[in-house]
Amino acid sequence: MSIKLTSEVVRVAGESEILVSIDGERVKVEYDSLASPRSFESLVTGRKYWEVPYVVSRVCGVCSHAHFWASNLAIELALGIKVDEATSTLRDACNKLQILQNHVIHLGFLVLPDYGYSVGNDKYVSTLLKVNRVVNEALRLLGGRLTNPNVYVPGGFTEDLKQPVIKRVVNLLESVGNDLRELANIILSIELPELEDPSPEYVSLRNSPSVTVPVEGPYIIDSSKNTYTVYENYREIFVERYLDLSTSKKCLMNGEKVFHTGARARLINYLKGGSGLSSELRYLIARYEPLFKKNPFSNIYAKIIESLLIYENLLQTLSSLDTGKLSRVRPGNSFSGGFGVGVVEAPRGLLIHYYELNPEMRVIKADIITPTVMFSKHIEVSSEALIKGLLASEEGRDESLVKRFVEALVRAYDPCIPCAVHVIKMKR
Amino acid sequence: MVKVYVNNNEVEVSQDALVIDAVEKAGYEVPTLCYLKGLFNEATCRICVVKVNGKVVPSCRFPVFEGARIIVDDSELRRLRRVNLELLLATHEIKCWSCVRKGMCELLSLSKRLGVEGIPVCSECPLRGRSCLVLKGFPCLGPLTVAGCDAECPRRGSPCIGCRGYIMSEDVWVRALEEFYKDNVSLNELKSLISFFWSYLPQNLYRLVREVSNVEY
Repeated sequence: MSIKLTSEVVRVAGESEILVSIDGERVKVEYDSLASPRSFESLVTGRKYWEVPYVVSRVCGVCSHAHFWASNLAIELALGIKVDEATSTLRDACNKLQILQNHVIHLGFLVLPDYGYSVGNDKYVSTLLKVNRVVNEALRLLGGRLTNPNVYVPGGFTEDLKQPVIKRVVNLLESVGNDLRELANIILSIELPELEDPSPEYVSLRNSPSVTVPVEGPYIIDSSKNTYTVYENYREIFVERYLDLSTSKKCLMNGEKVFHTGARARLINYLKGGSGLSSELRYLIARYEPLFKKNPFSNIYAKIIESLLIYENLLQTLSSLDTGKLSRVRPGNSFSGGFGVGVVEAPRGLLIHYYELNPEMRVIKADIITPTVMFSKHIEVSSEALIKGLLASEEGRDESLVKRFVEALVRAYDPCIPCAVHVIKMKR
Repeated sequence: MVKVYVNNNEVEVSQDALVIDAVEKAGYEVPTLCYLKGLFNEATCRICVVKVNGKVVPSCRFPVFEGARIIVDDSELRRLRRVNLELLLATHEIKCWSCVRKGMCELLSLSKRLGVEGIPVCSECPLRGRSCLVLKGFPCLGPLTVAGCDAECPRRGSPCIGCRGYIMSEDVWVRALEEFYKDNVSLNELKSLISFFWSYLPQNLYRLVREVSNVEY
């Protein structure tokens, strides 16, 4: 039996293509981006340090806070600026709000239609839109704008976020608790296809869903078997490969291991050291833990459980946050050049920003590794495993069925192609 | 009393009334800058133009007559009002960043209403004056950027990065570059910021920045 399938996967962020070739027992899947190169690393080169976050936050509309934060973090480390705890917590809160928004929108509008829900179903769509609206408003209050935030710069916040603003955000969030739980009930009731994860390597920042203030370099990254201390050595740990046909790259751990990063990886690693959860969440996580470790489709479950976790965590941190001490540090005049690495957890997984500054505080080298680049190889290997499983059964040999399942799997990963497209090497 | 028709609605007004009185009586509104009822009707701003029997006239100066057919608003009138306002703005020294009117300005609200570009973000910015970001040394592009965003970035203490595009008036640029930026912001930084969105900048403004900053742009 020989099948060749090409599918432009719809309902994902950006334009991408999955190529499946089946020749007897051999199955090969390639997941490539179709978007044109965006060259953000070149755009920021030569720019003054403070302009960089504004430029790179435009890499992505759905995770602009993650890019903004990571670039601010990298530049602060390069300049030797240390921000206070309240500033870090607020930045983290902005990022978490965006993770929450991304998860809700992705699950509702991109994933649920795969499992028989139509977007015309009024009840769940109005719930979705309500959560989205509230998170948007909260983001606007904390981050300055819905996308492309503007309230903080390397060194701190540009304005004093007063206590009433934080209180309003908390009130807004409290108003959608039931809607989120309702959505969780819908998502957790869908039946996932069976699949064994062919490469169970899960990578995330330590304690990521709960940590409010990240360790400011070196970053501790947990994988399933090892713990890495990542700073300037990030290039040795996350090795990127250039491909002939794609405008994005593929990333392997230590140059050999295919790994996953994102909600599922965060939850699996969080279970190692997480504490302070409500009984409802502890029960949910314990119940679905074996599934997270086994089935790549369970990223869908992981996303909604992480949304509940983030929601609970946001309410806790914001209600007890004292913003009275927000300070803003300006870089000193004497600077002899240097580099910084910023690692944060974006909605889709690990995000790494690297900047090298010259003594004039202008960027001379930039590098961004996005989560989609990291897990796109994992999409390929698990798609291959999925197709092999389908081919084993008689009814699974149907071409349209293979296509439907593979597309559903890609959507479960939630790749973001505009993020993944960066500088590529030209072959001469 | 005479009968006139405002946008085809019949209105009765006294014999010595002006067209603007008839229009107001019919429940319509004509934008105006210089007219003050009973005090001043020299018809200098020419924003209140309307059509009477097909002819364009200033409504604050023109008397009514029996059977006059008045049209208050159509595309040609809007265009004429816009042109007149642009001519007024051309001689107006736009210095919203230090103006005492603090945004309570009829010229500004009318510009927004008629869709006239050329008013800077500073006009909407609550930081104008003492807490201005440029005066603090931040290279904020507010004075050069077209207003309409409600100054969302400077409002939160973050400098304007010119996402709405620049005002294409040499006058505004000369004033901002020479009076405003020169002492407060390094022109080198400004030069880099102007290219932030790679927005279109005409040759004359290009030349201007180059001349003022003495740096290749």
